[in-house]
Amino acid sequence: MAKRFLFLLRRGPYDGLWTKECLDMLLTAAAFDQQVTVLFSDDGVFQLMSGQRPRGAGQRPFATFLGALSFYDVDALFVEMESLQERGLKVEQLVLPVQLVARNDVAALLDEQDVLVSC
Amino acid sequence: MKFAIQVNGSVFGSEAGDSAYQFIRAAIERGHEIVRVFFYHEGAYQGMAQVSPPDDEPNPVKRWSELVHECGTDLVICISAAQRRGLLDGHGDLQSGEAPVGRVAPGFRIGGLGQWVDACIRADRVLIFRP
Amino acid sequence: MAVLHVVSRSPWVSPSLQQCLHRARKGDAVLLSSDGVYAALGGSESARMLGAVLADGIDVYCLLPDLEKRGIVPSQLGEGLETVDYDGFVDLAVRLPRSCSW
Repeated sequence: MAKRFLFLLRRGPYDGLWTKECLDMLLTAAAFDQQVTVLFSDDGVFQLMSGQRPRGAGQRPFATFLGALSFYDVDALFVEMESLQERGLKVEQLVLPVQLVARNDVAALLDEQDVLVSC
Repeated sequence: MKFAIQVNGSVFGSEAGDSAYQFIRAAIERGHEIVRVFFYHEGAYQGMAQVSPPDDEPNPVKRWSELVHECGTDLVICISAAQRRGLLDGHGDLQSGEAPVGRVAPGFRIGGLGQWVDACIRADRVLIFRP
Repeated sequence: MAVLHVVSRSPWVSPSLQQCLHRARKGDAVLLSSDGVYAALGGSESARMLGAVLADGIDVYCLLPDLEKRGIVPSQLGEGLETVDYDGFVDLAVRLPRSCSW
């Protein structure tokens, strides 16, 4: 039986390799048919901002990588409301359709999982 | 209990490796099983054979090799994390499990992220040691 | 079903502790390790925050070897904060079905 993995993505998209490697881990869990949920919180909400245009050879907007989520059927995507509000962001500025979750409800979301990976 | 452990800190960049090591030793002492220790992100550096602290300082890499020797613990360095960080030679035809002689410390093996997911599936508990 | 939250960074360097406490709830436990143990120093704002979560039914532990390394004795800790060694850390990980490292 598949285990329930929750990945808390809490860092910005360009903080070294960290976030990209977390995404690789998340997608591997999905490729192994595990039940994967993603929660974007704290600076992790910046990964979803539209209009990212990194310069430099080989650099791609992080949103490009997030496109793989749907390819692997990872569609349980949550964004913590307070993380958006604290950063002056609105849902309309995000590149992916997400479900909003209140901070007070995050503990309940964590309790539904078997494995928690905080990135 | 069976534990899956992930180590994300480099050898001298944080206490993550030391903390993981101490936890693993205590868990084994208390009769628990370590399914796998998976070294990811900067944790890939925990397996660098060339780490060479002064003689009067601890050698964390050697300590991991000793753990394998004494307890048979499965230590896996993520192949993509290692490749990115120059632990492996170029873009060689390394198969999962192989480790270039002299680059990776004794006792470690190289494996993909699937090894981490497999460990999580098989374990009762998952712990991640991060910087 | 509860969570063992592990915080290993000083609250003056990283918001990890606060971010952790925002998402913890009654029945969870928080383990302070590495520089995270500095948060437990009595009289600090972080110790006050930890005292508040104790009142919410969240246990808070400090990893004793990391306190000793830093010259902190248990009497210097905020009220109600307990210490565990690595054996105790293992027992916490066994007792609580999932962990989250901040």
